[in-house]
Parts: sequence; structure tokens; C-alpha cells
Amino acid sequence: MIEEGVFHNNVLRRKRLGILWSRFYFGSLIIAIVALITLFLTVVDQAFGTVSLSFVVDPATLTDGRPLDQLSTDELADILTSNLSAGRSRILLRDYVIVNYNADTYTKQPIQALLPNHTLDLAVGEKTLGTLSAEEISPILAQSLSSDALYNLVMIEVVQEQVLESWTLSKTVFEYNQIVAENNEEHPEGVLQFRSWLNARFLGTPMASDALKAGVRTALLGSLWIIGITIFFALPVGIGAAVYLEEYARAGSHSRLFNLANNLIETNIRNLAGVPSIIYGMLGLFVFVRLLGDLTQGRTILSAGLTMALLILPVIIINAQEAIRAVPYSIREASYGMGATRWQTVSRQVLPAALPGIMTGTILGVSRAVGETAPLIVVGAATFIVTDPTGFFSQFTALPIQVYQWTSLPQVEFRYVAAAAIVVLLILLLSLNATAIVLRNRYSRRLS
Amino acid sequence: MTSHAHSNKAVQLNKVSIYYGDYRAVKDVSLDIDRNKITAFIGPSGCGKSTVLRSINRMNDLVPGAHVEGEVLYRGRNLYAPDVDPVEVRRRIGMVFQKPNPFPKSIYDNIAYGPRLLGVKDRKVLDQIVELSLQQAALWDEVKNDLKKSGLALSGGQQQRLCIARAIAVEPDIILMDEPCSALDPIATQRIEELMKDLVKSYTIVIVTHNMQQAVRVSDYTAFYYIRKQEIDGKELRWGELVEFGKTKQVFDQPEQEETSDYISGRFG
Amino acid sequence: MSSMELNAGNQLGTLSRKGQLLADVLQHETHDGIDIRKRPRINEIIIQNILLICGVVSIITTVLIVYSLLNQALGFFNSLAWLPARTLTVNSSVERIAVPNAIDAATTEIVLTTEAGELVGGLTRLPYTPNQLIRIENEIMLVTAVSRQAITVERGVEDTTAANHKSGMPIEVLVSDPIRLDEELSAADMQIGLITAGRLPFTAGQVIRLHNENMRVTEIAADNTSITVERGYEGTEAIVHPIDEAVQVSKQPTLTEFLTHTKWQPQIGDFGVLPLVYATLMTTIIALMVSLPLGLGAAVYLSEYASPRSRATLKPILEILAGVPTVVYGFFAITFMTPLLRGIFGTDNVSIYNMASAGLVMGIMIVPTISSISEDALSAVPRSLREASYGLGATKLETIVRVIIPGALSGIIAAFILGMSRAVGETMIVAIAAGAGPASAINFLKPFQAGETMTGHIARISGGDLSYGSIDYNSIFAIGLALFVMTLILNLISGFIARRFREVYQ
Repeated sequence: MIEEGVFHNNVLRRKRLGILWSRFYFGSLIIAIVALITLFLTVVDQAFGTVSLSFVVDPATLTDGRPLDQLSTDELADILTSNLSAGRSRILLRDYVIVNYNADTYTKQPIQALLPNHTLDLAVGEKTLGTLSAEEISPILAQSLSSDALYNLVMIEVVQEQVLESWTLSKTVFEYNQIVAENNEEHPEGVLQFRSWLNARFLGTPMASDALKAGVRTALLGSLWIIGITIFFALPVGIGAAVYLEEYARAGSHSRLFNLANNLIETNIRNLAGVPSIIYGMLGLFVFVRLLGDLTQGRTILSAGLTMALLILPVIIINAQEAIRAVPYSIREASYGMGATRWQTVSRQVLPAALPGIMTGTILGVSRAVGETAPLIVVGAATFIVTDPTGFFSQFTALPIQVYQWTSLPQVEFRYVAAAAIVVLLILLLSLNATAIVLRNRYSRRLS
Repeated sequence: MTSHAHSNKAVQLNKVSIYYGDYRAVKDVSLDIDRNKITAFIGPSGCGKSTVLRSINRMNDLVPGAHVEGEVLYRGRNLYAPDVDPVEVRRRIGMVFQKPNPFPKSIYDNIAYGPRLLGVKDRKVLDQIVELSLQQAALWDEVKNDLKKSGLALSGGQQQRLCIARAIAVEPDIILMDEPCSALDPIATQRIEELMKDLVKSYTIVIVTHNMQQAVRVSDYTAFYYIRKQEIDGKELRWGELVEFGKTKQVFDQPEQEETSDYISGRFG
Repeated sequence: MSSMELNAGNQLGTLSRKGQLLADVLQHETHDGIDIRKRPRINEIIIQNILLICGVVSIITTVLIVYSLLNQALGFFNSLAWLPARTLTVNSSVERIAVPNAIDAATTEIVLTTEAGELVGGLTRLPYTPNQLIRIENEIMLVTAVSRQAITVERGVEDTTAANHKSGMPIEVLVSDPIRLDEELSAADMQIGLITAGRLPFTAGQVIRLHNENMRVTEIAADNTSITVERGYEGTEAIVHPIDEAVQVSKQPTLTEFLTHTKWQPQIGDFGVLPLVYATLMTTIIALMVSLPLGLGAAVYLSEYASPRSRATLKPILEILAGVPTVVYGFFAITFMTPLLRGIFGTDNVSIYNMASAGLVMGIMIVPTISSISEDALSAVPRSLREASYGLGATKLETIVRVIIPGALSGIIAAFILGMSRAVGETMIVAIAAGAGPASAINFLKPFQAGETMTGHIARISGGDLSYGSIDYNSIFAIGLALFVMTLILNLISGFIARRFREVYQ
């Protein structure tokens, strides 16, 4: 018999130990959540802040009081042409509007020939590039370029805005006086300005070598194009495979060879789900860029989309399988009992009932595809591309690639635009996942 | 082919044995199901009555490894002949299950499912079929104002009547019912029993029930199944066999087999 | 289908009203005979085959992955790197110093003072410079640093092996000379005069290369000043070569070298994958040191302590960690974790690109993987076991540690191995934060230095311009093959353990 006092102390000690450890367990969870929050805060911290700017020409002097980014395309084009030499204006017209020209002959061709898709005054259209005046160039610029592009040109060419130094959001909020002092000391000519690196123009502008001007337009469009192709290929094949495995392979008695083959397919899919994504990139490089290069034209959006489709295929299949399995057997029984064929049962009862689960799984797969970078690097994302994608055979870049490239650049301003791009990426993912949750809730209510 | 359309035998089972793989679940069942009559299968749990029922519309095919010996004759054709399509069989021999299983769709779509499978597209025709079926299943008055309501939103008894309406929407010859009332309360059960007596005027009904009183109440014929056991090589084999079959009145009042009278009087089972 | 006129009072044979409605569609139906024969349902067959093809796509994917990796990796082992042919000769102008003390095979620092504390041989300065090659007995070493009294060396270079050396052994300084043309070579000349400090290291039949032209050696002059060659060999064009151009010899990667050599620089003939593997291991170990306790702790909390409501809120938050793209983690690593580490441990000790930063962030990323699988395993432990333990008077902690965790052990191990597999295959975090360190294995035990992992290397090489068929292009497939094999083995082990676990409670 254990002495009463000893036993009691022993229990107390064990209980204290228990409480200690329970705090550790809780603490682990909290640490993970804190890490997550820190991650988001770090991103936000860099996406906004203060910059010290210098101008050659103060933008305020160019307008009548309205902010520069609210002017119309005509007004912006006028500012451009009236502040630059005629020669410079012509070069801008050549590089940003005409873009594709024959270097040997373009100086002799009439403007209308160089811009076949533009409507120009007859008199203007007949002139060659070298004879155009500033007044004639301005409307062409206004007609061809977006206000975002024109704004950027004004800032680059006329204002010649430069970042002297920059500070993060936390510094801005907590140590603003220090920023002012630093600025006065080291950059007395610099104008301090609060800057949101994430703004509307950021979304509409393609990448640039200057952090101030850079935007995610090409990357965002690239991501959307790639995702479109990915879904187009991965969704039907994935659902088809899941339907096959759950409804056709499992049901009914089959030869042993058949069962073996089906087991092989299933094990194989689970293994594929665990293969590192960079290996899919290498697969894409070998198969889509090289082997099928004639079909895909090499390092194009099509190759990228197909590679990502293969990447998320296992995820979609596994999720769709679970969704299909969740449909109660009684529904199938009732359908077969009425003399429906297998495909009729699957297409009219099973798939509609499994739809919410399948959609959720698809969106999860798509989320993954949106965030994946490594495969795209290997397949060959373009390092510097400023034109919007025009079709399946365009060169490509994507949001996460853009983040990667900007993060790797030495200038600290590119960290800020990288953070802004991350915010765009996260918002995109958030909306995708929110849609998944909403859809799933709406449809599962219908079922029960 | 001789015409059997007017013969009074809907289905004939000749020495039907049902196997799952190597395991024989039911041995040598022979009986005739009369047209436009209610035949009840009774017996203790595990005696194979549901298995026999499902063999009539080839629902056992859905179980991997199931196969049947003997003949199941329907209108003179052996349903298990190699050139017979189970899908076609099930269009003519419908089934209602133990737990009501309406589709997760509207009442209308539940009933229209069968006709749509057959290719009916005309909305007006479907409307009529839905109404007729619901009327036959004694559910029309309760749901006629909201056919778009989900089938799952009905009560248990209503759901089962919905399933019956769904089954008869394609005008089957025979309706098989596998313990249709066991998941329902007594009032709902009573309604369905009344319904059966109505339906049997148009269809042949075979019902599996573990409730002997129900068999007495509704059926014209009764088949009593029981479990047989045998020890071979130290392992105990069990299977189901048909013990007695005849008019209900006779089976319950003057059973020929001792096992039958024992079961009915409640001495075992 | 035509709409039927319904006459309520009309009896159409034995068909009911509903039967009439359906009659149009039931084409095979007659009053008497019915047709229940099998009919060809072509749609069904077509659809079934289409679905089968969908399922087979996954097999095709695996086959293609394996094929492409093997095929191109094979190309790697068949490709050649061209290195300048060199002879190593002893620089006799440097005085030979005898090693004062015996050296074992592992020492990297050789102290050259006598017992009195003076430099050996009465020298005032050590006559060595970094990047020099020295030789003791049969071992060649690379001098990496020279101090007042000692030299630091890399042991066993130039295909020699590190060995023990007795005291008194002389240190010879080697000079590595590229072999050059002694005069301009025309396109037709078959005899080539060469300048070299030592013996010509060629053999008859060997293929050498001058600029873009391959040549086959047929004869080596006895006086070591010239060789006779076949010009324009292997489809290359015979061209003029200027004076002093260096002769190149080829080197082909072998599997043994791939797996054992400790330098990775394919362009100059170093084909050892070990540095990349070591970097991968280092980051993986750091990641697991973080993710295992955190993941397991979180799993225990969620499964044993949390109320259903808090579990419902906390678990999705944890899942968010899994949904964040890895490139964002990479950004986090370099903008937050690296400055943090540099702040804590000092900027001299932590370099800007380091493996610890990447490893720690990778660990955070893997926490949800380990936690969710572990939690499933913990929850699957039957109530009866817990109740038995409580019934014996155990506290909650004791029950967890002695009953539940051991009961879920296989699942937890499976989670751990899966986490390892994810860490090994992770690319972006290491590509951004771990940097491209010197491709040698020295940095393995220095987590605060940069190190390039297998994945990081592939990403870096792919980011540049990859010309098809170049040794770089093929080399990434060789590395990819190694990576694929590693993760496949880990995944299979994890799956095997998980399956064994699932049987235990049935």
C-alpha cells in the first residue's frame, strides 16, 4: 500500500508535468499560426511604404492641378510630345506602337503601311516616319496606347522620376521621424511620398527594368492563360479517370489481369501525387518543348499549360474519386433497378451528386497550379517579356515566376514590387478557395 | 416463340441456386409467381429470401462474383440466358428497396427519370406520366402543389411511396419489393399495404417481408425459406432453401411442413 | 415523339394509359412478344473506352517521366566535357620543406613549425600561395589558405586519395601547365608541335580537341615535343589554330564519379553530385527539426485537447499554411528569416544566402503535412485504449505519451517520411534563400553558409539559356533522376508504413 502523502505528491507532480506539456502542444500550434501571420505581415510590410523621389520635371507642373494619372490619353500624349524633341517622339512611336518593323526599309515606308490596323488621316498616313510632326504623332500615340502605358512613358521620359531610397510600412508607421531625418541628411532633394506598391496601375502594366514602373500585367495574363489550358485538359481527363476507377473498374467481376491493371493505375496515381513538381517541369521540357516541339512551338503557353495539367492531374483524380465514393450506393442501386445502363447511372445520378466534391477538388488543384513556380522555370518561362500573350504559342510568364524573378534582383525596390505581386497572387488564391467553399456549401445543402 | 403474354405465370423459378463466388447462398428454389397476385417471401434473417428476390431482376449481377444456376423464366424466356440484357430485364421488372432511396432531385425529376431513360422528351407527356404515377402511388394529393420540392424533403412513408411511383412510371410487368415497410412506422406501413392491394390490379407484386402478419394481410401466395446447415471437413456450411410454397391461407392455417408451422407459431426464427 | 391523342375511354388492348404514353418510345415492345435480347450499346462501349484512356493517361505520365529522366540522364553519361590538357610537374625552384609532424588522412591544417616555434627550414615566410597544388608522397592537395605558420589544404585532389603521412616527408609544389601549341597550326598539318613542362599525357587513339576541331592522336614523338594526329575527326572541320592555343582532352562522367565525387562543375569536368545531395540533406534535416516537434505537437493538441469548436477553427488555419505558394515562402525566407538570423547570430556568421534560413522556413511549410497525417493517426487510436489507460489512473499526458502516440506510431512515422520527401523535393524556397554556394561538399556542416540543393541547382541552370544536348541540359536530368529515385523510395516507404498501420486496428 502506497503511503497517502507520497501518492498525493506523486500525482501532483505528474499533473504539473501534464499541464506543462499541454502548454507545449498548444504552443506548437500557436507557433505555426504565428509563423503564418508573420509571413503575411512581412509581405504586407513590403508592399507599402515610403519612397524618396527625385524628379527632373515636377509632375505638378505638367498638369493643371489634376493628378497626372487621371488625365486622358489625349492629354498624356500631348504632354509627351510637347515636352520631348520631335526625334524622341518618333522613336517612341516606333518602339511602342509600331514595334515590328523592317530595320532597312521602315524609314522609307509611309506610316499607314507601318500601322495597317490603325485609322489615320490620309494626309498623315502618307508621310514617312521622319517627317511627322509632334502634333501628328500625339493622336496616334493616344489612339494606340493605354493611359497606363502613356502615364509610364511620361514618368520615364519627361518626369524622369527616380527612387532615391525606400522604407517599409512598419518603418513608415513607427519611425517616420527617422525617415524624415535620414532623407534630409542624405537626399535633401528627395520628395517623400507614401507609396502603395500595389495599385491599379500595377495590375495594368507589364514588367519593366525600373521598379517604379513595373507591373504584373503580363504575368497575371500569363497565369490566367496557363490556368485556362490546364483546366481544359486536366478536368475532363481527371474526372474521366476517376469515374473509370470508381464506377467501371471497381464494379462487377473482372479477370485477374484486369484487376491487376486497375490496381496499378491507382497506385501509380498516388505515387504521381508525391513526385516533386520540378520533375514535372523536366517532363514538360522533354515531352512538350522538345519531343512535341512542332505541335507546341517550344516554350509556349501551350507547353506550360500541358505541363501543369499533368502536375495537377493526380490531385484532381484523387479528389474526384473521393467525391464519387461519397455518393451513397443506394442511389446507384435505385438507378440500376430501373433499368438504367452504367453510363446513364453515372452521368445522370452519380456525377451530378458528386459535383460539389469534384468542384472543390478541382479548385484545390487549380490553386496549386496557380502557385507553382518550379515546373514553369524548367519548361522555360521568359525572363523579360512585355507584350500581352496573344495565343497559345506566345512566350509565357506567370505570377509566381514574376515574384521569383523580382525577389532575385539586387535592388531593394524590387522586393517591394515582389511583395505587391504576392498580394495579388494571394488574393487570387483566396478568391479561388472562397469560391470552392461557397460552392461546396451551396451544393451540399441541396443534397441533404 | 409461343406467346406467354396471357399466361397466368409471371415468373417461374426452376431449381435456382445462387452463388457468390464459390459460396452457395441459396439452393434449388423452384416456384411460380402468378400474374396480378401478391406473393410474399418470408423466413428468418439470412435465409436467402432477398437473394432470391434480387435474382428475379438480375440485381445480383451488381455483386462481383455472383452467378446463378437453374432457370428464371419470364414470359417463357430464361432471364439468365447468355444473350439476355440485364438492363432490358430491369426495365420490365422493377424494384422498391428496404430503405427509401429517392434520388437527390425534385419529386418530378425522380419520377421522370425512368421515362427519360427510355427517351421520352416531350414535357407534356412527362407531366402526364408523373401525375398518373403519383396518383397510382397515392401520393399525388400530398405533393401536387410542389413537384419541384426535393424528394429527400418528404417523410419516410412519403419517400417510399415516391419510390413506388418512380418504379411504376415505366409501366413494369412486375414490382419486386424488398422489405419495403421495415424502415417505416405503422401508419405509413398501413398506407403502403393498402397501396399494394390497389397496385396488384395492374402489376404483379413479389414482396420480401420479415413481418408474418404483413404477409397474412396482403399476400395471396407465400413462400417460406429457411436456413440449412451442414458440417463438412470441420467447417460449417449454411445456405437457404425453400421449405414451403402455396396459397397464403393454406401455408398459415395448414402448413404442410413442420418447420413452417414451427416458424409461424414463433417457436423459432 | 409525336404527341398522342388520349381518349380516356378507349381501351387499347391491355396497355394502360401510361403504357400508351410510353408505347411510342418502346419500339421493341409488342403486346405479345417482348425483346430482352442484348443489344449493342455503342455509346456505352465508346464511353467506357474513353474513360479507360483517361485512366491510362496517368500511366503514360509515369512512363514518360521515367523515360525522359533515364534517356536524358543517359545522354549525360555519354556526353563529354572538354578540359585543358595539363601536366603536373614539380616546381623545382621552390624549396622542399619537410613536414615536421606526422599527418593523418583527415587533417586539413598542416602546421610547419619546429618544436621551438620557428618555421621549419629556417624560413621567414611560407613559400605557398592559395590555389597552389602541393604533393606529399602520392597525395596531391590543394592549398586553400596560408597563414604565418600553417597552410590549410583540401585533401586528395586530382584523383589522388588522402592518406596518412609520416613526419619528415617532403612537400613538393606542383605546377599545372596547360599544353600549348608552339606555333600557328595550318588546317592541313598532321604534326603538331607542343610546349609542355612535363611528359605529354596523351595516348595513341585518344581524341583531343583544339578550339572547335577534334583530332585523333596517332603517334607521340619520343622527345615529347610533338604529336601526329588525324585532323578534322568526328565530323568537325579542320581549321587554323593560332599559336599558344591550349589542347583539350575530354572527360566523360561515370556513375561512380557522379555518386562519389565531391565537386559539381560539369563545365570543367567535376561530376560529383554529392555537394548538391549534402545541401539537400542539410536543408531537409533543419526543416524536419522544426516541423516534427511543431507538427506533432499541433497534432496532439488538435486531436486530444482541443474542443470540437476550436478544432474546427484552428485546423483550417493550419491548412492555410499548406496552401501558401512556395515562392511566397522563399520571399519570406530572404526578407524576414535571413535578416533575423543575421541579427541574432551576427552578420559575420550568417551569410546572406544560407541553408538555415531556407531550412527553417521549409520546416514551417511542412508543418501542416506532418500535423494532418499525424492527427488522423492519433484520432484513429480506439477509445477503448484511452479508457483503459485512464481507468488505471494515468494522467492525460501519460496516456498520450505512453498509449496514444505509440498506438499511432506508424502513422506518425509515415507522416515524418512524407514530410522528408516534400522537403527533399522542394525547390523555390532553397532557390531563393539558400543560394548557389561553391559546388563542393565543405559546407555540409555549416548551415549558416550558402549551399545549392539538387532542386535549387536545376532551377538555376534552367533559368539560364539551356541549349539542347549541352552537358548542362543533360546534367539536370541526371540530377532529376537521382531526385526522383530518392522521393519515390521515401514515398513508397511512407505508404508501406501507413498501410501496415491501417491493418493493426482491424
